Amino acid sequence: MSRHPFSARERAPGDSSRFLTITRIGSSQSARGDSDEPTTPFSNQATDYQLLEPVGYGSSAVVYKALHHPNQQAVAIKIIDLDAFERRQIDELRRETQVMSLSKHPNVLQVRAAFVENSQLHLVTPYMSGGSCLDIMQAGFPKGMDELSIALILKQALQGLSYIHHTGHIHRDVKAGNLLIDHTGLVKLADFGVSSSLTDTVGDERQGERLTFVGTPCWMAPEVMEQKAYDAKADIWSFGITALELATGKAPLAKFPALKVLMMTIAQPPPTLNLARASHKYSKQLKEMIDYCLHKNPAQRPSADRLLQHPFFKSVRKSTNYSHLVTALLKKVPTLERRDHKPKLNPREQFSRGVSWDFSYANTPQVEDRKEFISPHDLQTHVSSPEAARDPGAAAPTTPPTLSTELLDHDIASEKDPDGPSANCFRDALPRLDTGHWIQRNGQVGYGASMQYPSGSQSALPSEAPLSANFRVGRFSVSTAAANARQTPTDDGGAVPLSAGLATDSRCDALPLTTDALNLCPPSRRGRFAVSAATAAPAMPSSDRNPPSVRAPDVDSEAATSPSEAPFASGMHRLWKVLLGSDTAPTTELPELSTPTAQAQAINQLADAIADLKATNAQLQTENAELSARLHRLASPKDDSS
Amino acid sequence: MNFLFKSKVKNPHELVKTVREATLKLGPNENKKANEEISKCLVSMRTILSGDGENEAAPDQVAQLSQETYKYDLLPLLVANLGRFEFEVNDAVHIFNILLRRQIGSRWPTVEYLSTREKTLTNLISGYENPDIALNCGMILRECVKHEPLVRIVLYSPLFYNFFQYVELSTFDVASDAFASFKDVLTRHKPLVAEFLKANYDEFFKHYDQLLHSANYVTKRQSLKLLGELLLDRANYHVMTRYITYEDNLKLIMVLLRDKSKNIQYEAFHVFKIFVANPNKSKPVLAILKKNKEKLLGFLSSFQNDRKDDEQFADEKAFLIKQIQAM
Repeated sequence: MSRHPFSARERAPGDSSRFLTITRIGSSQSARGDSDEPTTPFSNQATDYQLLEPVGYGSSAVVYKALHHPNQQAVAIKIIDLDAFERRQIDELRRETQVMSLSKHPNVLQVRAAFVENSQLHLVTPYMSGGSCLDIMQAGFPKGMDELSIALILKQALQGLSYIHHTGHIHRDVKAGNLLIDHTGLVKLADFGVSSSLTDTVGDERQGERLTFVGTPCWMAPEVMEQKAYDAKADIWSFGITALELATGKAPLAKFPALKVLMMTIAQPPPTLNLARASHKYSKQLKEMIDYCLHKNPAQRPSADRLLQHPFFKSVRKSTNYSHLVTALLKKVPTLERRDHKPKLNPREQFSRGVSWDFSYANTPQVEDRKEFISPHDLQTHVSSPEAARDPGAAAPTTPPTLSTELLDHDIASEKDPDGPSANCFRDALPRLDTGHWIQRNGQVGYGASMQYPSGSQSALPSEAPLSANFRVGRFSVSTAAANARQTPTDDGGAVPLSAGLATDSRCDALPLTTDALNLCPPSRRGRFAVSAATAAPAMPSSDRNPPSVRAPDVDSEAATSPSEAPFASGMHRLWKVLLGSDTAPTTELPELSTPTAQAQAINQLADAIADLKATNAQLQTENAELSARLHRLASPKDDSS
Repeated sequence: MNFLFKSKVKNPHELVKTVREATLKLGPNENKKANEEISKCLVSMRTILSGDGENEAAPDQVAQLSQETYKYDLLPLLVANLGRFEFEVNDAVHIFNILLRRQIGSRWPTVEYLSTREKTLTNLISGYENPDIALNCGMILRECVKHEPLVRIVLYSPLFYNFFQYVELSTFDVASDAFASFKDVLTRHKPLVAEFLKANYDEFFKHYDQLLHSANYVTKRQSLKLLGELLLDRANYHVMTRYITYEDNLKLIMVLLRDKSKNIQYEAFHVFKIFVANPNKSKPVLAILKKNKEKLLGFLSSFQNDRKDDEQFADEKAFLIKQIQAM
């Protein structure tokens, strides 16, 4: 690859830690001029970097610590296999990379160099030796941090966030796992949207623990959950949740399955900091600051700039330096390199080419033979298998990618054939899944599908169907998603009466999933339940021990002899468990789902389950009406007496 | 107390004038004060144009500011000096793009204004050579090429062929940004581009071949995909029929068909199919296909069979196999 003369773009990371005062860009304070010292720029040549130990894994990316030889600086390099990305996704990646390389603020992790080697994209960022705040808490502060540390971390993060908002972007994924600390205590906000796998996985040595809250949309603002339009204020909500996370060690609701988190976030008052029960002594200002962020109405939340004026942050004097973070936190946990890291990688051979063309009478166009490359994608050894799917408890907890299928709207019982659908006619009698639209929210990809009835009536889109506590009759939503079986909610309905809505939703950890998932349901397959489910299923291999098992259809499928059946079965299994509210769905029957009859039966059972839920729903609704009538009477005693 | 500060707020005329004068003053040496002044004014201008988050932009202020920028040729001046500013040029980009999107009835005043200022567009193109401002120039450029008169300028500019270098730059974000602009230029205004490609076929495809031979995976893959899109576009029918008569093109595509990347193979397939589907194949093309008939049949029958959910692909593949069998 020839090196073009214009390539010397990146500036070396100056010691930017002293520029905390920059809270605005676009103003005359120039990050470009101020925070960077002109030293050797970072190279665009892979050979200039010496890869050291891996410090994180994503579904199709590996993050390494590396040494940049020309200036002997330690960097982090995220290596992404572009061949795992579908057509348009490269464009997405371009945009995200641009945002990250245009972000010139001391509290935003900047991409210093981005180059392609073979089919691998290399993103070079400063090496943040402390790892993420989540990481640090897991390594040494499971109950939360002290107040000064929280203030120092959050203030820096907020300055980064303010910068991002001023440049017209929304971060969409603010959480402790995305706040990285370097050896001096400088905090940088990492990972915009799609690129979220970078830090999700950096130094993530306890995935099992992490899963429990990564797998739930704990940081998501209510308006994002309700699929309303949202703006930078959504980040402020996430910021408030992050504050709680730092103070308690976990995001609130972290122990609940995803759907409950969704319902509780929407139905209940916002979470708050319980000063009496906290493990550290916290000030009232911290609590107030958190409450300020966690208004359910986004308009009532402050902007990042305004929040910076809050007494909680004002109390952090400019003179306070970050050494507190070093002494209070970093010195007490092992360094990132010392923390355990996961999979040992075994390179796998690339496929070989079989054919050579015969252009014998003419010149053959010269196409260089390149060295076979090994992508991080290929480095993964574990393969998705139905066995693993059925034994998730034994599997090391990982970061299963997510697919959430949302069936919305939903008068199934009334639309259904009165006699109930028979196995033979389920396609006609039952609503069909229509592949709808991909929803990306908070870095998470879901698949919104709608039910289509034989009559042709089209369902509402999710935006009209908030998971609200007083949902209407005939309206519920089902959301299924990949889940580690331990996580799969046995939705007991108890506290949350709207048990019609069911979901498990595990966190889509990384970009490639987005990519792959997007390609799994081509428009040509719309409207066929079985096929939709089958195509959807590969996106939810909770069973996989390794994330990259989600593959784009065009990538070698090492998996199954019947690629469409196994995922279908496991997807079905999960849906089943969710719907029946039982963790003991009959695994033995699963293989039979490969036959159309069995699929039909399964679908019928699902339909019945849905109908039951609907009935429960209606009953609750009636009760609800009675209760509110009674309440009404109580509230107006005069009417009652008259 | 507010009135004390009010006097500080510059009106659009003053803003434009200040920026202009300060920009012209920028010399080779560092000029901190001028830079600060420009930056401050640009922030104010941006606020006038897009509101401050709490208040919407006032239409009369917007109109006034636009007039002033045209009058003082501020946009060309900003573009020409982007590389010299020592501050974040984000605001300049925003100002430019907001003005570009400005519409009065069916008129686009800024587009009309720029269509007589070719230099500005060529400055934007060559902005890719300066890594500090490349992405900013790219953002403006893509906003520009939404408009036909400006695409025309870009296409027929001698700098157009520079794109072929820019898309191969080693910096991923700059190169891929350049490719995005390049693609927009070639796909947004089809009749215009068809006419251009017809008139400049040889020159264009001589350059384009280099992209398809590129050692850079991204360049290769994206240019192959774009090639498929260009050829399959109805507007480019003439270009397509010409392209598929040349045996060298077929050979190149067949080599790419067995590239080690499945995605490159896949993109190549979508160009290859055109050669096969052509009812009037040129002799050399037909000869190559016939000569490789058995190999092709074997190859295609096992070609990316794991794309099970791509019905169209499966159909097209079956069609190709049938066509080749019949040869």
